[in-house]
Amino acid sequence: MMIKSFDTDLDELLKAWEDTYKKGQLTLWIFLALKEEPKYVDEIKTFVVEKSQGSMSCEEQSLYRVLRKFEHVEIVGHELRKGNKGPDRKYYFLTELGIELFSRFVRRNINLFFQEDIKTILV
Amino acid sequence: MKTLTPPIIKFGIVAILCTMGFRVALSSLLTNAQFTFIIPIAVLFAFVMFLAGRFFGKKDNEYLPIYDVGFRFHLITFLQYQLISYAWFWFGFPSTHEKIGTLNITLFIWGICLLVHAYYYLQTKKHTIKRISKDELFD
Repeated sequence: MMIKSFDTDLDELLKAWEDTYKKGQLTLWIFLALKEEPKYVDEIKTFVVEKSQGSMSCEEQSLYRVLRKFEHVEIVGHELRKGNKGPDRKYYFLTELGIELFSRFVRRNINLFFQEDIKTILV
Repeated sequence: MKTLTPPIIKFGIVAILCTMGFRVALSSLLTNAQFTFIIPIAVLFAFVMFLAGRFFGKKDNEYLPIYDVGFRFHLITFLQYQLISYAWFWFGFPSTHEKIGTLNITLFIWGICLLVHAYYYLQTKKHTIKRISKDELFD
């Protein structure tokens, strides 16, 4: 009985934490996808799902909306390239501003987790 | 930076059609001395414009959440209304009951309202990055 309650509490707590944590994560995953190479929306979506090992997911419509916002503030751009069939595809890429933004964000917020003492705690 | 989004362009087209329809209906009613229909047609025009603004405003926010406290929609409504109304007079279409003075008064009062709106629009700028709310940009 105690173990069941512990597991239920753990699941609920984990889900609540993850829901909050993931809210701001999509931006990071989109940046990661575009830093690798220019991609069209479907490729970004696949990258996010695969590389996050399924812990992140996103609808195409939300992705388009996010990319439009990023294009508006000029951290992302796009170019049209021929698709296999059908109309040309929009390939999104990080602009110079986007690359610098990502680089500074990583230095200030991600690299912290690669400090030896922090890595020891994490493992 | 793109502030003329597809939804706002569609709104502009609907607004132009509504305003042209309103001017035609108003002048026809006045020419035929059907004065009882003047207020209902004006109310209907205002209501349709309100619904169009609401519909395309929601679409616009879904497309790109530009934080402008509705100023772009207001500006487009103002510009197209004044241009069509003055053009209506310049081309000699209005009825004898319509006076250009009424249009001038509308331009003046509405212009002041638009300036007040523009003031609030400029005030919101500090909460945004290129007009996207800082809270919404990376959410």
